[in-house]
Amino acid sequence: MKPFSFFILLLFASCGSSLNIPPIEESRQIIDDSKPKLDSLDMVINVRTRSLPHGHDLITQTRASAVNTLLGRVTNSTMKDIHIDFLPTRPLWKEEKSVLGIGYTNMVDVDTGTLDIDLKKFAFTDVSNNTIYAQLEIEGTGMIKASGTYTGVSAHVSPQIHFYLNEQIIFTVAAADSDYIRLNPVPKTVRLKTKITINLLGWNIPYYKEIPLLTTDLIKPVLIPSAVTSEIVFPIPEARYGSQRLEFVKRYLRFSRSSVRAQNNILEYRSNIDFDKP
Amino acid sequence: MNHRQTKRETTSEKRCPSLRFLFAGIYFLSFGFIFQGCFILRPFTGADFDLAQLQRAREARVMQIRLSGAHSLADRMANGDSVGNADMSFYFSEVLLNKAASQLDSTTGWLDSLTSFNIRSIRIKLYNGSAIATISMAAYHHGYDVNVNLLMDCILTFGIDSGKFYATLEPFNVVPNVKASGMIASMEGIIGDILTMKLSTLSDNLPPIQFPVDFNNQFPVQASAVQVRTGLNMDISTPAQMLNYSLALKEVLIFKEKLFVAMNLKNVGVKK
Repeated sequence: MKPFSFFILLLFASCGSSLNIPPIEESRQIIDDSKPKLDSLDMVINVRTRSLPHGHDLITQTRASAVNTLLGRVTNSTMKDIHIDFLPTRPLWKEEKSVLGIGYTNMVDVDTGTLDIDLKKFAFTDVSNNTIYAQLEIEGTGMIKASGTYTGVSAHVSPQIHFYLNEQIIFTVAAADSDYIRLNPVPKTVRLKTKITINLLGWNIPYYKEIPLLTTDLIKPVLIPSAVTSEIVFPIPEARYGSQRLEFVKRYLRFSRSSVRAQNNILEYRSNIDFDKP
Repeated sequence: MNHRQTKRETTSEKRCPSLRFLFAGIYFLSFGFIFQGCFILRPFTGADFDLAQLQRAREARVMQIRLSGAHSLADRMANGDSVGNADMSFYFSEVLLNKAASQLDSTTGWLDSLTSFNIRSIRIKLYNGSAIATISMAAYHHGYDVNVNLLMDCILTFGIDSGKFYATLEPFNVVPNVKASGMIASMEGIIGDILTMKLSTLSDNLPPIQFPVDFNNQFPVQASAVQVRTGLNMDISTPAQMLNYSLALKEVLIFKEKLFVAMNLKNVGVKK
């Protein structure tokens, strides 16, 4: 070390105050004055915070309204949330007719078509008793390609098709030792209301059908992030002197005693965490 | 790791220690005269070292900080909105903070090319309104073979940077215990003081304590596909979507044995 720098340090040392130590009586007085005040404040705060969650290394609480904000962004991002490819359906509709004892068949086939429809709403409506109730609404209108025969005459048409679904979906929460809260849809059959307005050579066909869909096919498990990372890079001091003051070490998070609770419109995730070396 | 050994292998300044000590001794004695009335140097120089005084002073300072924090927290609890009134709330236990802080145990760093420090342990205590870390460490001056064992009390302050939540350590109490080898006793304290002053810059060198949370996050919406073969043949599919979102810090409250962090959603964007 250079003598000059020692001089500067001494100068600073002499002018600093962090090393000054008050007389023992002064310290004792501060302690004696502070302790009853601190005890009193602690008592007030402890009473007010008694109901706060505790018992795990990490507890996160996510409001259903926050999840709805995220889901709302998904539903509002585009009007083309759901894509439908129509495959040949032969026949879609068929009727046997007879005129003067001569039988014939009127029929309509769906040939092809694609359609993008809007996920209008997907939101949690209630979170209670570890069950999440959500409302799912989808709606869309488009054209498909169809062909058919009416009174023996063949024709191609592009009828309008309309879909609508508005159903309640129920999710259960799953505890997992991971960084996500997994919401599993409860299997349930929902009805996709389908209406096709076909006019083939003056023949109006009122096609209406409620197509059963299984919620577990339609909705995949929803993964709510807990904001907990699965790994972490800790900065630690660089062991050898150099230009870098810090080095970084990676640790994996090991979760244990994880649980999820859904109550009072809040999703609560709890876990104990340990840091494992790679 | 032996932090003495590492530097000795890399520096060439120890080639003639006795001559260096002689010159340094002259300097120290000169400045010792100049500053002999100064209150700073005295408590740490050999015979004047009063452990009880240091301990009481340390306790009083901790008490003052705790009292100030508890006052602020009590005001917040009385006048603010309810705890947990946020999009996302996090409760970190004191145990978890100590698990994160213990990653720094037994690590060695450098204040400058001749002064290393070794963190023996960090223990964090959460009180109502304040978080205090006590660092047991040793600082070593390689040029003069002076070792200062320290207990350092730090206030933990919490913040977010680039979505990462971390705590920085700000020392407010330093309780040194000088040990020297090969030095005359009157110089021990001076060098100890210098080492201690150097340690006042330690907050710049101490790494922040990272928390295992990331507030720049993603919300995945999984793809789905349904085949309908009843009445109307069709394949229904929804594409996978990824929502990127970040959280804005609303408040950090420190309670006994737990740290509470309230966050609100911001910057939500869809990525397909």
